[in-house]
Order: sequence, then C-alpha cells, then structure tokens
Amino acid sequence: MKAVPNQAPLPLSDVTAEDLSAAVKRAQEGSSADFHLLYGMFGKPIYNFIWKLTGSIEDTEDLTQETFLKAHSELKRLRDPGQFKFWLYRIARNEVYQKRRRSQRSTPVSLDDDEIDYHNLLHDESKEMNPEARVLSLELNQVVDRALQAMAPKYRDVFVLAVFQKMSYDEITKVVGRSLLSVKTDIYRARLAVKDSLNAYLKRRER
Amino acid sequence: MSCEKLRPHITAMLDGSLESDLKRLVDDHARECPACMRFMHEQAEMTDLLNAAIVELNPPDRIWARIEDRLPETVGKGTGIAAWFNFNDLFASVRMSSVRYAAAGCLLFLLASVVFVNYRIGLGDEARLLSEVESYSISVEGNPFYQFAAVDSGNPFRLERNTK
Repeated sequence: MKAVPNQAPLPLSDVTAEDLSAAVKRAQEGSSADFHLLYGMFGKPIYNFIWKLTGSIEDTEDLTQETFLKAHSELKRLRDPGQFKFWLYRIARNEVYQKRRRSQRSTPVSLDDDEIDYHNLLHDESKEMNPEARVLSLELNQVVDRALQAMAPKYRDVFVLAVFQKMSYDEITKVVGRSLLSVKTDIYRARLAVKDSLNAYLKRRER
Repeated sequence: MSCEKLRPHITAMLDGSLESDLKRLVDDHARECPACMRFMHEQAEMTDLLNAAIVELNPPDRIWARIEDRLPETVGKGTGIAAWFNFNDLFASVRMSSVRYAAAGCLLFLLASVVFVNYRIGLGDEARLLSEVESYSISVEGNPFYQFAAVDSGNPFRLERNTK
C-alpha cells in the first residue's frame, strides 16, 4: 500500500486490520506516505466526530489538524499498532476538551440558532433527496445538534461514538476509558435526552 | 430486573452491543412488559430517523495541506541536524510528558551551568583581554626597582613578583 499526494480518502471498511497495523508501524518508523495513508482512512471519521462534539466547523478544522499533528508527534509511543483507532479518537476527544476549557476561560460558548449553517454543509448525497426529505434532514440535524450541545460531555461523547460513528460499546470503552456498564448507562441517558428533543420537534412540526 | 435497570440493556441491544447472555433476559422481559416494549419501539424508530438524517461532511483538502506544512522533519526525510538529532526521540522512552519536560529542563540547566562557569573562570571578556597581552609590568611610582610583571602563564589572574 503506497500513498500518493492528494489521494482520495480510503474507507476504513476497505482496510484489513493487518494492513492498518502495517501502515501504523511504517508511520512509526518515519514514513510520511503511510501517515498520509492513515489520514486518508481516519480523516473523515475524526472530522465528523469532532464536528458533532463541538458543533462548530471552524473549531472542527483546527481540532482535526491538531489531532493529527499530536498523533504524528506521539506515534512512536503507541505500543500496540492495533489500538491506533481508539488512540486517535482519544487524542481527538482530549483536544476537544482542552479547547472547551480554553474557551470557557475566555468567552462563554454560544448556542445561537444560526451558528451552524446546515444548508451549506450537507453531504453531496443529500442534494439528491427530494425537497421535503432534505428540509426534514436539515431540521433534524439542527435539533440533534442542539440536543448534543446541551447535554453533559460524558453523555455526548458516547452517544456520538455509538450512533454517528457506529462503534460497538466495547470499542467505546477503549476510547473513553470507562466501564462497559457506565458506557451503557450513559448512552441510555443520552438517548432519552435526544428523544425528548426530537419529540418536542415532531410535535411542533405536526401543528 | 426492574424496567429502569433493564432499559440501558435495551438500547445496547438496538445498537448491536448487548452481551449474548443478557439478550435472552431482555427479550423475555420486553415480551411481558408493554412499557418496555413501547420504549424499545420508540428507540428503534429514533435510531432509524437518525440514520436517515445523518449528515456526514468531507474534510476540506486544506486540512491535510496545513498538517503537512507543520509536520516536523522525520528520520529519512530531514537533512542536517534534524536528520540525526530529534529532541522527541531523545526522551521517547520517558512516558509521562511532565517527566519528559523536567528531564529536558535539567539538561538545559546543566548546559547553561557549564557555559556560565566557563565564562566566569577563563573565557570572559576580561580574561580574553588579558590573555591578548603576553606580559606587562606595573611600576610603583618613585621606585623603579620595584615592579610587578604579569607573565602569560595560562592564568591571567596570576601575578608573579619580579625581583628585577
């Protein structure tokens, strides 16, 4: 597997665990091409993970960049290349927390309705939806995003990992460092919070 | 098991992460508990709704360009000092970052101490000025026979009495 500059992102589903470990090992030995390959595999999931946690595109770009730079500088300390995925998500999560702590010290976090312009952000596929489905998708994303930003970080992290990143609960324990029971309970509570927000939205929509 | 305790297992089952030994327990309970069955259906509907509405963004190309610009020189790529001396490599075996920084601080303090001591003992400006003069003499006024002479003996602060 050789990376070339500006290559298209490589879906994780197309990569075997052995190929991933081999790429991580080569990147640990100093291969820039293999680090680029790892970015191709994890750039998009990490970007979307950070986006759901922060709700800000500008912060997401900066934090994605910082996450991969941190991963590059610390990569040699990763003892088990097979754990790269969880290790990278942990770095991303820590970067988000650090950013939040810095922001809370300087300015209060804004939860303005207009902060996220979903109309300009929708994935290309959504443009193929019929207009009604597209409006529903836009509104649902806004509702879910507001519910996420309003909930405690420990609920938000695990909910995003389970529902949007499609991680198993076992994998989530490796990212957040909590017990399986704790993860299970936190996802349940987060689901209740999102369900309340969605119910309120659906009721408003029916009127 | 009460409904309240069972429900986290129901959502885990919907996410495909319930341990196999608990699945039977959840199924049996939900079959006999209308409230939990309703909860399961509501959560399943919500999952379907979220899956249909999920927006995934593609990271803009400028992110990788910015990362690449800031990647430090690595082994096999860099030249000069960066190619053979990497500060991170030097302390890579030290796991805690605070300990790593403390070790780096000690090393810097040691280097600074060596430079300072060298400067004070023999390589300061005054010493350099004195060392440029091979020898000189100081006359005591009114007594031409009583003189001190400095001889360049490697130590510019050492004066030897001249008995001339």
